Amino acid sequence: MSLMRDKLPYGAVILNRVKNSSFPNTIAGVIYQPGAFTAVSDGQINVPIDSNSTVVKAARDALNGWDPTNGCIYYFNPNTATNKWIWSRQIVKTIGKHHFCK
Amino acid sequence: MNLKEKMIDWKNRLKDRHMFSIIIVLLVICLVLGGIIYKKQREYRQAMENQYNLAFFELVDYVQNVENYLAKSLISTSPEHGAETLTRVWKEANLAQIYLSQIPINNEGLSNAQKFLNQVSDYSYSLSRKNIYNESLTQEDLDNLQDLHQYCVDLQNTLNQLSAEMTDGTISWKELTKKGNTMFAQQVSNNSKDSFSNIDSNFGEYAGLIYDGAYSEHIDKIEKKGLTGDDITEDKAREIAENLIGKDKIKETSSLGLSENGNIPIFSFNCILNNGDKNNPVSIAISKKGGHVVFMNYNRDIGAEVISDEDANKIGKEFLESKGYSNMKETYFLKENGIITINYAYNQNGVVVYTDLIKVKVALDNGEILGIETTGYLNSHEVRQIPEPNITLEEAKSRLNKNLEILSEGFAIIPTEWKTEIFCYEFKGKVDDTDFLVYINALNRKRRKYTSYYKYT
Repeated sequence: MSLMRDKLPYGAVILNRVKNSSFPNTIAGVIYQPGAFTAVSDGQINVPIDSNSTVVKAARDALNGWDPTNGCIYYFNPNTATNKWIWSRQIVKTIGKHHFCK
Repeated sequence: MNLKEKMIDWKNRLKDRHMFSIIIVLLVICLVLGGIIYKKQREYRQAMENQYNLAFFELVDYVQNVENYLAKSLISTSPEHGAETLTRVWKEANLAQIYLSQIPINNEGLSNAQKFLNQVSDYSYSLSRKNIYNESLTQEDLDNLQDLHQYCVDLQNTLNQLSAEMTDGTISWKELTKKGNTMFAQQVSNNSKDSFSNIDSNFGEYAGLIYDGAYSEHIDKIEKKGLTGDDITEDKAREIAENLIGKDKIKETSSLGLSENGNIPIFSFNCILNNGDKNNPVSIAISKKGGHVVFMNYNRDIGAEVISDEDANKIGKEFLESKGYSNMKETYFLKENGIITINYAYNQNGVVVYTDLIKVKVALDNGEILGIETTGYLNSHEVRQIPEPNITLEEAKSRLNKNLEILSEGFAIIPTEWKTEIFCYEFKGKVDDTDFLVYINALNRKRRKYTSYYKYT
């Protein structure tokens, strides 16, 4: 139900990475960077989506420049993140279950 | 006793030949299947390993080439030769960067190396442009190249070391996997991880580069000229947010607080509409400084499209005017799934200022404003000093491709990738059936001509 609210920030993170010099310079490069996103590692990314789905609208909004993360390039779930490094990042905003950081 | 009876029962049943052979057959099937799965698994793993090896050894080669051409660029004697070697650096560093990003080490472990290669590539592109326009490199440029070359030599040494360890089996991708297939990419054993962290530790001192390009360090630190005014309170921000969509349309507003570390410090709000789903609120961000709307966004199912593009444009423009953004001109739109997103640029005395951009989303079923995004405007808007053009319209036209059929002409201010602005003539035209926008620098006759052809639909 709340898919819309959930998906736009992740699209924005991908696009912020494309613009960032520490990441690949293409959308595919960022998405398929080994280990970058669990949804890619576990194959969820291949679930077919309807062209009218809220996910597609969120992707379109992200491409058009809407960025609710305010420039973030990382996100993590504070309840499950075990990586110490990620906690050292500066948290910008919490959206849904995730902390978004720079 | 019960268990023992059961065992005896089993034993008796097994004595029955029939049962015995069934079990044997099942066992054989299991073994064969297991064998096949194991073999497949090995094949997949081998294929992945090969992929990683490819990426790694390509990286080693390309970094070697970068080092080689950087060394040559330091001793080039003419702009022509400089341009030639620097375009090679640009290409080789770009490929090195692509292969580096395919190595299965978490990005945080290689981000400095990634940034280094990206900046080497982009910087050498920027310098090669200078050379092409017959400008010599400055002493600062040469010093930068010298530094970059030294970093590249260090990187090359680390990679050679890793390459040797890879070849003699001290480290391998095989030991990188511990937690099964899906995690293959993420899990790196400590031994190999340490070896790989040497790549990044070369860049402990690397401060990054400031130059005319998209990956320059200064990009994030540029003053936001449009973000004017005094700091506001959260209550004030809430009022601005609610007025944006109209208080009468809102059932409930919840605050998501202030986020200060982002590009623009903002107060965020979610507004549930009277006729809307409580799980699908309108999200709004208001800047702490000056109380500007940074963005508003909402999506819903769109009914039959009854609003024309022209009407949507009128609605968008009226909305902007009512919120205090006057002189905004539509420049581009994108229509999808019943929603039109229109780009508006600030217009000063007929000069279209493309940097000062606001995007507005309009629903084509009832004309509702679904979104606004103003970061372009907030980053760069100010009243411009429009200069007198140094070249005449006729001169500018003489530089156009002869096949371009000119449909309209005017002035524009356009951004460079490194966020400066260029005052240009803008021509809309056609070659065969393809529309183009062409920009010709209106100020510089001798120096860098700025001619760009944008395919336009």
